[in-house]
Amino acid sequence: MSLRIDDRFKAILGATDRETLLTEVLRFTRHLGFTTVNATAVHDQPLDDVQFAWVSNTPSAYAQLADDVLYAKGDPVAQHCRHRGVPIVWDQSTYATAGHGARWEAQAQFGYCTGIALALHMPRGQHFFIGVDRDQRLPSDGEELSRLTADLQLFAAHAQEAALRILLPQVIELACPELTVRELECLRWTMEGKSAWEVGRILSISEQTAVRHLNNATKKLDCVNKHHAIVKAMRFGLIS
Amino acid sequence: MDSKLEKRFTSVLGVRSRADLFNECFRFAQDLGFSRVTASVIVDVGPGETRWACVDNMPEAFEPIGGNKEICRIDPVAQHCKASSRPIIWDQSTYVLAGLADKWEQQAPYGYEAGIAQAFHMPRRNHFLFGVHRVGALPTELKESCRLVADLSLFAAQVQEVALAVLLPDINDAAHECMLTRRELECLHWTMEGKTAW
Repeated sequence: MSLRIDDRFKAILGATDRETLLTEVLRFTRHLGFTTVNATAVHDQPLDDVQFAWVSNTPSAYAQLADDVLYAKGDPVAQHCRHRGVPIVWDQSTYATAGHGARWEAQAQFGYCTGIALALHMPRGQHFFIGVDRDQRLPSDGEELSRLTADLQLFAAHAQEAALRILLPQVIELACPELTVRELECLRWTMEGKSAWEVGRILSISEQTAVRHLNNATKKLDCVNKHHAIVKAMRFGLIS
Repeated sequence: MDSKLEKRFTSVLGVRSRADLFNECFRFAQDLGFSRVTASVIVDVGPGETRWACVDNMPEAFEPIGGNKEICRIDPVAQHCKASSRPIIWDQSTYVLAGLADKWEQQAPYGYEAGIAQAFHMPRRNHFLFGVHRVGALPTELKESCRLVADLSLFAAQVQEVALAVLLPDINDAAHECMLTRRELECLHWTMEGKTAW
């Protein structure tokens, strides 16, 4: 049964390049009754620069403004998506309420009058954003609007895998070394501030064995010391 | 809160208690034509160590099987959800294909004949799993089954916003408590990269 749902999203699930990704995202957007779309993969690790990569059909006259990350920081729709995991259905009133009426006026000339957007926030600093927009009003019927939003939510669940894979391949390809349960346990207790001797006592192993596990973990993670190893293990999502 | 969507999707955003969370989830499941519902939050707190909490209406007699983690480990629906954020729509054939027809026979009498489930895998090792189950076949029309799955997906996205705060409030609070300044984080970061204070 699950295969049948996947059938509907076969093309996007199997996409391997930006062109196919954009084609499929556009196909869905038009099917939903919208004109423009932006699908963005984000990688955001503490203290590293945030990486953004996207496919869109933003009109070139508006792209300079729309693709400016700093400009996007003041956008109420982008702000919603940054912090929340629920979709936002927006129109002029969303911008007016947020005190950004002028901003809406600026984008409306390019056809960005109403839209639906959402973000999926995932492990290891990965996020996926998708927003569809048009120059017409949104349906006034709540049922119809909910149907459109639900369709976007379902599409996003399928599109995010391909988007991250295609748009940020370097993030996905970061090889995550395999650590044993013991090595992870030693790292975790060290992270809690325990010395190798204390880790040994907690895990009922000798101090020497605890040190060996920590050294192995440090080597596997290509780090210089155990604290460095903890940072890297956290980045890989191996410990938290 | 977005009032433009139907209330049947968004009212769950206002819940503050387990009982209300269950009521909202159960009402949604029933509206969708399902009699059983499960909403779980799972937090990996350490290697091999997880915190887990849920609301459901699992019959008591089924709990020894349904709540058994060893059995869950081989369940094809649970396995799909563990590995993927895509929803799964399942029935007897899902279990037959996985070579687990017996398992389906065991669960079917308790109202778990077919269903839809989706997991959300989120930052800070938080996971959310939402599933609805029922007796009787699922729609055979692709359009109709996509409708059900899309509705479930939208509702689950709303539930995941509140589920952790309601079901595991201590973990939710801890995540919001520990805030350091950017400078403090930077210093710790460089120290952790093996640098001395100098």
